Formats: sequence, C-alpha cells, structure tokens
Amino acid sequence: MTLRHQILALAVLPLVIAILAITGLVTSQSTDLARSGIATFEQNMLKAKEIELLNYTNLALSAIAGVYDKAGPDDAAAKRDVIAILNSLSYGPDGYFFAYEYDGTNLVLPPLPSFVGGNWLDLTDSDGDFLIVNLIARAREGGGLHRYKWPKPSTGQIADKLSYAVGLDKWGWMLGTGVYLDDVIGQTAAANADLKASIDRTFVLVAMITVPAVIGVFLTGILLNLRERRLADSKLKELTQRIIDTQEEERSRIARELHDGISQILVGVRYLLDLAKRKARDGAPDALATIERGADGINGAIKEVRRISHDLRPGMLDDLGLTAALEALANNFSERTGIKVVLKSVAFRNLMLPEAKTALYRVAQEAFTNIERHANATEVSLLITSARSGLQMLVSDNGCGFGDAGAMEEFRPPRGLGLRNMQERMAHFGGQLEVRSSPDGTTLRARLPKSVYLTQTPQAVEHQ
Amino acid sequence: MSQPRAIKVLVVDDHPLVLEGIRAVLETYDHIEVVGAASSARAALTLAGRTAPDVVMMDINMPDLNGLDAVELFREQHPATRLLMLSMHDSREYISTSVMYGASGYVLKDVSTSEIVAAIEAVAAGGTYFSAGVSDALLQRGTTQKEYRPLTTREQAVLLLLANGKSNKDVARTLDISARTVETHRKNIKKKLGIATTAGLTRYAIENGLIGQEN
Repeated sequence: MTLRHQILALAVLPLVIAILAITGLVTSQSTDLARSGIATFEQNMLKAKEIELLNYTNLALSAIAGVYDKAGPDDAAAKRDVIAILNSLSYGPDGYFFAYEYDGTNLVLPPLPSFVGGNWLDLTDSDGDFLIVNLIARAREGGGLHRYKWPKPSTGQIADKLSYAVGLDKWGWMLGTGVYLDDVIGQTAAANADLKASIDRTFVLVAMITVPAVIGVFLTGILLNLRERRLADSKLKELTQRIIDTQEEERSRIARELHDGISQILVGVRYLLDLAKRKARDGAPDALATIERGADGINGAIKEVRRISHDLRPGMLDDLGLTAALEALANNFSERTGIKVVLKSVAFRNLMLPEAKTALYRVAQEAFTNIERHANATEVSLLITSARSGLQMLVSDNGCGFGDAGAMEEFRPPRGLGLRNMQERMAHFGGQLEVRSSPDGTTLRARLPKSVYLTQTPQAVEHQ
Repeated sequence: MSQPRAIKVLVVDDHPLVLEGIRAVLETYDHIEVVGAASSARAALTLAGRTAPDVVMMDINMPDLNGLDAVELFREQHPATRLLMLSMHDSREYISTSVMYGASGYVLKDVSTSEIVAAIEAVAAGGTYFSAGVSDALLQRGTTQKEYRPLTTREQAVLLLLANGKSNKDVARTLDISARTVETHRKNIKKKLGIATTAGLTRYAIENGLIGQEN
C-alpha cells in the first residue's frame, strides 16, 4: 500500500465510519421510539378492551340481577331463567357470554351449543393453557382477566381472546365474556411492519447518499493523484533533460579543451624533448634552447589547465572567500566588456556554507553574463550586505532593462531559464531570487537566510 | 657551508612531487640551504621553530590550514621569517590578499627555477618580489571600484572575541598571541571598518549577523 493509497483510505474510511455510526444511532433511536410508541398503543388498546369487558360484564350482571338476587341457592327455575337471559345477551358478531359451574360443567356457550352440559375442566388451548380452570379461579377470586386462545365465531379461526370472569358464588357459577384481540395484534403488527419498512427506507437512503459520496471522494482522489503525478513526471523529465543537456555540453566542451588545447601542447613538448635528446646525444650546441622551448610548452599547458579548472570551479571561493572571488569575477568582466563595476561588500569572510557561497557566485556570474549580452549598460554595481536575518546580494545595472514587455516595477521572481536556474539554487537554501526591471536598468536581488551562516567562532574562522 | 652565510629556506607544499622538485632544484644552488620541507602549514610552523628559516616558501592552496592563514601565524610566531608565496594562481586577488596577510613575495609555480631563486634572494634581503606575470596583474589597476576593506582571518577572529565582550588579555590568551599584537589587530580592525569604539565593533558584529543567537 503506497502513501497515496493510505491517504485516500484515510479520507474515505472516516467518512464511511461516520456515516455508519450516525445511521446506526438514528436508526436505533427511532426504533426505540417507535417500539415504545407501539407498546403504548398496544397497552392502551388492551386497557380499552378491559374497560369494555368490565362494562359488558356489569351489563350482564345487572340483566340477571333481578332473577339471581331473589333466588335461593338451589332455585332451578331461577337458574334456567338466568341461562336463558345469558344466552340471549350478545353484542357484535363475536360478543357473547358464557357460564360454567365451578366444577367445569358448561352452562352457557351460544356459539357452541354442543358444549353445554359437558365438563370442560381439562380443556386446554393451543398453548396448553387450562383456560376453564384459570377462568374459574379468576371468578372465585372475585373477578379477573384471563387471556387465552379461542375460535372466533365470525371467522372460525383460533384467535387471542381476553376474557373477564366473575363468580355467582351463591350458585357456584362462573360467568364471563371475552373480546378477541386479533385486531389489536394485527394493528401492532402493521405498526411494526411500518417501522421495519421505514428503517429499511432510511438505510437505502443512507446508502444512496454514502455510496456516491465515497465514490466521489475516491475518484477525485485518484484524479488529483493522476494529474499531480503526470505534472510531476513531466516536470521531472524536463529537469532531467535539462541537467543531461547541460552536463553533455559541459563534457564536450571540456573534452574539446583537453584534446585541442592541452593534449596538442603536450604532443608538441614531446617532439621538442625528442629533438633535444637527439641534439644532446649529437653534442649539438642548441640542445639547451630546445629544452627551454619544451619547458615553455609545459608552462603553456599549466596555464591552460589553470584556466579550465578555474572555469569549472573558482578555487578562490575556498581560498579567499566569496568577496574576493566576486572581485575577480568583476575585474574579469570589466576588463572584457569595458563596463565599470562598483563592488561593495562585507569586510569579513567565511560567513556561509561553502555550497551557499558557490550558489551566490553562480548567480553573480549569470547576472554578469546577462548584463553583457542584453543590458547595454555602462555601469554595474554589486552590493553584498549581511544582516541579522541573512545575506543579500544586489546586482544593478544602468542598462535598458527587459524592454516594455518585461518591465517590472517591483521585485518579481524571474522568468528566463537561466535566472530560473539561479532561483532554484537560491531556493535550495531557503533563499530567493527576484528581479526588478525598468528602462533605467535592472536590479537582481538574491537573498539567503541566516540558516546558511556558519557559527562564527575564532576557531571556526581560522579552520576554514 | 659556503661564504657568505647561505639563505635558510623552508619549503611548504602539500604535493610531494612539487615539494621534492623544488627542493632538488634549490639544493643545486650553493647560497641556498633547504632547512626543511613540510607538507602542511602546521608542520611548517613547528619546523620553523627548530630550523629558524630566513624564508618560508609556501603554497596557498593546502588542506587543513591554508597558506594565507599560515602567513599570519608565521608573522606572529616567527616575525623575523620572510614569507614567499608559491602558487598556481595568477589572479590579482590572490596576490593582493597575500600582501595583506603579510607575505613579502609571490611567485607562480610555473616560472623558471632561476626566477624562484631570484625571489628567494630578494625576499631574504628584506625586499619584496613578485614574478613577472604577477606584477603585471598587480600593476594593472583593477577596473573594479572596490568599496570595502577586507579583514584578515586573524582580525576577524579578534573582532569576534572583542564583540563578544572579551578583553585584550582574554583575546591574547585565547589566540595565544601577545596583548600588543591584539592591540595592533584592534587598531587595524577599527581603521578598516571605520569604527571608533569597541561598543561600535560589537554593534557591527550583531548587525551583520556575525554574533547573536537569534535567527
């Protein structure tokens, strides 16, 4: 995994995690809310059903009160009357009353007349609940609710039923009525289904937002990456080519100078020495003069080497310091071109890293070359100042500037290739190179930060 | 030993071939005695203490301690010894800097042996000598108008110490020179920089970024 991929992953991962976390939180909270809503709704429904049941039961009790209250414990006629009343009472398609003796014998069950007279104490519902036993128990306790499964008359389907049972203790009877809860359950289930659907919808929505966002981030990242890499590649290629070109040019120049200059001189000297040897052997009187000429040739070669070596790197920079090297450069320049140079510099040396010194020297060299070629100037000033913040070199000429197209009132980064190279040299040390140009002349300003300064101690100064 | 007394010469060059060549050539002259050959300036300083040469003939470009800085040290430690620079460089800046540091002569390495001998003779006699090419360079006034007076390495070291609040005595002890020499340096520094007071020197050093920790 490359750094680029890591960065991309770092950008995408938190996004995904954040979206997932928010979705999860919102979902769980809304689910809780909906669940408690549904539970409340269910409870309210049940409460309403209970009240309804109580009302029905009271209705039935008051319907039979006239007979029951007056009857004795074994009044068969009264019992018949009460059974008749209960059989006739109904509400809605599924509302009816039932009655059992405490021993489980069925007395009233309008939807299932075949039950009447049978003992159903052992009857269980589909969940294994002894419903008759439980109902009788509620009745004996003074009345209570019991929930069980029972066929619904209108549909014939087994359904949840909530019944209220009261006791007619005088007769040992349990009287009850019940409502079916399938509607409540159905509504709750519907609400639950709604909830699930809404959660699903939320997830789909989140996915619809997240996926494009992640893909967007990803694609943007990749695109940026590609663009940047392509740019960097082409820049690098250009730079490499420039370095190679310069290097080749330099090499062929040095090769030419070595071959055409020094090599030829040395070959000449060799011939001269050969000649001198023969003359000496023959005792010719001018052998000495020939050797002298050979020595002259070697001196020529030495001078040539000195020139080439100086062109490659001015040793003066190391031996005498930047200021002296710049002075030599300025002298050379003014002798060659006739342009007057004023040099003002600091009195001390060994201030900077050798590399920074070289860079500054090359900048001055390039500036002189440019002035000679383009500026048409009569006077150049080279000013070096040192301050607490670093070193500054100003090269100003009174030439024609860059012309209208290049006029720059303020210092700006240069545009030409040569100066841009110099700018890169300065930038390498955290410095800057700027140019200001007007029809009255051009000023080049090179600045290096304090970081290129060497620590100044007497020892360090002496050891440079 | 020949009559009159031979000129005692110490040759210093970090190139063994050059050193040997010069030594061999000089030894063919009767009035010149090569009392030593050193391949570094520090070795030469030590050797000079033992051999008391009249003339030290020294290359400029040497590792460790370069020839110019060595000239200053020789002037301090062996004031009677005359210094003759022997160099590959014919630039005016080399020559003028050598003179500034206290050399009495400057010869190019590629001149004839007889010229080197002439230089040694002239310098030993208390004069100065600059080889033909060099004198041309010196005479040909620089077309560049130079508006600064460079300090020597020693002067720069003294400036740093003084700017750091050291007394003449401290400076003398640190650099292992006499207080008198320090005073001379101090005077020269003030003259070159155009500064009258020691406080001024300190301010100059701070303003030019020579001392002070802040970046």
